[in-house]
Amino acid sequence: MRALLCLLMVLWTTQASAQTWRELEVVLLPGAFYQPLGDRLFREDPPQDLSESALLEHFQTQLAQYDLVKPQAIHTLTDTLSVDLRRMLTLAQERFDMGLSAWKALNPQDAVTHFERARELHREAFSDLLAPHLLAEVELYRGLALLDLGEQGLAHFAFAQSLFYAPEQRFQAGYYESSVEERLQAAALELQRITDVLSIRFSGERLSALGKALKRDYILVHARLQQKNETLLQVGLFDVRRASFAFRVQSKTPEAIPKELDYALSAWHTCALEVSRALVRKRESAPWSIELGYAHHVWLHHRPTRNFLQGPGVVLGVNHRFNSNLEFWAAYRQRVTLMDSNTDLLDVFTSGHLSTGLGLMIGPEVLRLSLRLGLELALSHADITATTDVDCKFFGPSHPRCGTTFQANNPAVWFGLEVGLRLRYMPVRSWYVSFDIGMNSYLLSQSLSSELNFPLHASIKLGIPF
Amino acid sequence: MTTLRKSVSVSVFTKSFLGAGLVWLGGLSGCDNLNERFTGLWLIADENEAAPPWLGEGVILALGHYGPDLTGVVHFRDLNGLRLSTCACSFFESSRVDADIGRLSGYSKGCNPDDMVIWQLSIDDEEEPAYLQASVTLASSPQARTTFRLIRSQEFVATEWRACTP
Repeated sequence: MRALLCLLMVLWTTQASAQTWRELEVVLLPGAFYQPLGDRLFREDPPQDLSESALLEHFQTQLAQYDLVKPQAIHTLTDTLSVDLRRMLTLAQERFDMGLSAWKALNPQDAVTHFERARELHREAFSDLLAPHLLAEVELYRGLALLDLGEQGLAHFAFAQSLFYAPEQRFQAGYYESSVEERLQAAALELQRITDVLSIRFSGERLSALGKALKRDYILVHARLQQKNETLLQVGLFDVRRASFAFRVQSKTPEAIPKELDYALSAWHTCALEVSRALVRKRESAPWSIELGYAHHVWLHHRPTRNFLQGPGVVLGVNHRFNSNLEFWAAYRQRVTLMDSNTDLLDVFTSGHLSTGLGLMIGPEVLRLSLRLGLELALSHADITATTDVDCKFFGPSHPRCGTTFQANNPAVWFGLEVGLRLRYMPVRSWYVSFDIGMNSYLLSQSLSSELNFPLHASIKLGIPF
Repeated sequence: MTTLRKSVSVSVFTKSFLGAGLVWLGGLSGCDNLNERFTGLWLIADENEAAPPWLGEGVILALGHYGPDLTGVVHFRDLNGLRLSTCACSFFESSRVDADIGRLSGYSKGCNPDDMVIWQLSIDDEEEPAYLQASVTLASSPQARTTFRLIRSQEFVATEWRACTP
């Protein structure tokens, strides 16, 4: 028994802690390695850069050590990409294929058009961040098609873009014409001018848009830049909600990065953890409220008359909210029941209805629905006389021709249950509007409730919390 | 409104709210109430026109109209409007009221209590004052039929006109 209790306690605590703190989901994007290439751009057998995947794995392991931090490599999120993004990517690929076909068919002009559209679609699909090699391929072929058109300058920039997105690209020596190789070589020189590689490769605007599209709060990015004999490693954690880097670290000795990253992560983790919204005390309006409004009612059970009896009225209400789901309410309705079209009710009568009870509420503060149950005591302020006998109406109840009339002397008393639905719209904290509909079922005073019962009432009220 | 009341036979809630709404709107817009259109004190329009003796020479109708029901008193008077000593009044019993088209039929006793008089009235309340076109037949002698016009002198029927102690 004790063991079972302990187990339950552990489960409860685990569950509570999971609900208490908000998990921090960090997306890891593929990095880039920029290095002076020289003649290394053309290799018979391009070497595989294994350090990139090792780096990603390392960052993932390092992040996972922190409580409630959930690192996610981008390739694991492919399925979570929105339909629009995936569709955009497919369209971009189709455009690229069309461009490739046009280029192979010696139609460089059409090819350039298709490649440019493919480039735009890739940007919309965030390929520059998620799959830069795809965009690099588009830019490479765009550059080749531009060269065919004699657009040397534009081709140069296209090659530079291609190498910027995928600096690890290598080309088989002799595969392209020497003029193409020269252009590629010249474009590679452009990359050597980059110093702050992280800011250029991962702009805040693009990261922010991607974070929103992926619905993630943090993105970890990194890039390497080889300068002479040293390799500069830059790592940054982008905060999507703040649209800026939470921290950036860099080191020329890659071995020192884990330590520096650990310091930065530790500091960030301390401040980034948030209590989940469920535990944050909601700002609610004042517990009391008073309201006044117009009410209309219809007696659904009206034995002495052939037509429904109905009439207008005013309602004054007071409410007290115990918590976000339970309230106490009280209302006073002053009603006038009008004569029906047949004048079966011989005269209008007024009545006062005092009701009180509890309400169960659901919904946010701004638009709240409540089910109300309560009791009502009602008193008429005048005699109620009704008949369907035309002679009673014309000659009077005491006339010999008059048959039967229903008469309830003042004050007629009703007592019974009330059930209602209420929709409250509170655009600001200082006032609200409520729409109520309800019905009474009178139990006491059998002689009266069997004649006039089940008033259905609806009201619109303006209320002020205090 | 009567037509509407007949046609609306959906749920009780719809019915009640629709009815309430129409009555309320009707009241606001000041529509004439068809359910009371025959109510009033009706006198023979032409002072020189005399009703047949079995109705007295002058006749006054005091009618109370309440939706599908109507009742009233037929007062028998002479041409000067004075109460006849031989016959004072009779109760008007309606048999059919078509308020929508402004027609009603009914019966009463005649000046001779043994006579049964059949009334057919049609109203024209477009004009002011409203008038009733009366076609009256003596039941025992269908040839004895007369027509005359009544105008409404008062919309409210005072207690003295409601009383009838033949």
